[in-house]
Amino acid sequence: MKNLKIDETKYTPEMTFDPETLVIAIKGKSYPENTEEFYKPAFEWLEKNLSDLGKKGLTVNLELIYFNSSSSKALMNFFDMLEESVDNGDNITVNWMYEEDNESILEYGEEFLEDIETLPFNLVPLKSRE
Amino acid sequence: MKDKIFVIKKNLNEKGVFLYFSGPISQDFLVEIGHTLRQKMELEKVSRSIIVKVFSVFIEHSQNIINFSAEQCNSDIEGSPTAGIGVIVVGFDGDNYFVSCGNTIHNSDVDIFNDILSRIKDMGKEKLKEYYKEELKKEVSKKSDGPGLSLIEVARKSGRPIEYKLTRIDEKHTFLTVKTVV
Amino acid sequence: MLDDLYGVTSDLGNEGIFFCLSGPMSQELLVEIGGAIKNKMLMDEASKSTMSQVFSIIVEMVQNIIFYSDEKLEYEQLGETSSCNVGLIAVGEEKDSYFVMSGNMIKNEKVNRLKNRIEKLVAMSKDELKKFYKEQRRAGPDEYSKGAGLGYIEMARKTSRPLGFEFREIDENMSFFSIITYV
Repeated sequence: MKNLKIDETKYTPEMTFDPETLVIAIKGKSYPENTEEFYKPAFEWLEKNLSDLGKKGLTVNLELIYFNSSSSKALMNFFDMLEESVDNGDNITVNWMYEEDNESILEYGEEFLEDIETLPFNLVPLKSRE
Repeated sequence: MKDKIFVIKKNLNEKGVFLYFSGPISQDFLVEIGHTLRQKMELEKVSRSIIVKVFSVFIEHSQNIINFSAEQCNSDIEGSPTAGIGVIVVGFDGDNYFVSCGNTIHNSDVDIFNDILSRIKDMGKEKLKEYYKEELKKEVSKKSDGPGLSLIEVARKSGRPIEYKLTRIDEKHTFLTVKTVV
Repeated sequence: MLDDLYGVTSDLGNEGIFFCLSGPMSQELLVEIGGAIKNKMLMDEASKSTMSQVFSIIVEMVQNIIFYSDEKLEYEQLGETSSCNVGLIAVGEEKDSYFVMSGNMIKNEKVNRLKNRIEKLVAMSKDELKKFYKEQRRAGPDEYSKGAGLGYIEMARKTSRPLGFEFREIDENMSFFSIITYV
């Protein structure tokens, strides 16, 4: 399996996959100029590997400090894709991590949760960094 | 308030201003604005030598704001940039490009600026060059930066004598405006 | 311009505006605009959630300018047409709230569509906005948007007072569009 590794920039998050622990981690800010283009490689990677990973048990850790409206759409598409996999019997968990004093990230998480039916989706508070 | 933004834009357009900034300027900010300025002029096929001049005057002016503005915007958070508050304007009046800048200075610094600016205002190219070298020596020995060198640099790039104005705000502050026509 | 540079600056100051940029916008510049505002708000000891709301509105507005301003210079880069788009962004404070406003040129033929769209959002309640946001997030972007078409809904949801907006016709081709949000 080709590994997923996208480095963080000033306006795009780091995306990694650890084959040992079967964890996808997305971390940082997301407001690229062209959201579709930025997320395309990650979606392609996922399409190729999701059914295999879903059977082994996949965890997705999201630790976003900020994302713009078009990234929010990309995230929705991402969750829809994971949910479809879960509906087919795969084992996937999403951890939505937010800094305790960053209410807006928590609220976004809650709103995603409202739109998700079967995908296990946890809201995980983190100690504030500052 | 909505009206305000339209009025600002209208004023800028009437005067040929295509870049206007007012607020805290840091080195990183300056680099990115400078980049868009350069890109815009390149796309408009402005000659290389004009671009270089406008760009360097823009940089000198902005750095003077960072270094000498009496109004600073620095939070105590580690790693946050040094930023000076000021205004910078770049435009084209139909014949020439111009760069103007303005910032508040302490009244105690007024004499320093006045002295340098009044001297360079009437200097020709050769005189400016001499003055530049003289100041350069001074700065090197002092190991500190004053506004002198960069203002002389600006004057050397300017196609016309630079214009400046000192507007007293109160007992502590004066607003300094410098205009350069490239 | 020399004569009134002080006038212009103190005018802005009187309106509470501490940041005003008019010129070509870029993604890299957006990062620095965000940084400058953050720094200023840290000095003001603004709360993290206020800072993140202001930042998020700035991003939506500047990216709208980058995508949709009709005052632009187009160029070819690696076989793709890119453009350098001009607009205005200003941030200020009024009593105990911050405001963010932006302005840009727009072709007259696009005015009605955008105006209808924003008027529709202004008329919506918080719950309706939330519902609409979620619908749009799942729907494909409409043929006019390069982003997800969620930017104005996001602004309408974040603003603490109704969105203010205005279209002023400049000539037979162009209008100036401005919008203001309060946090």
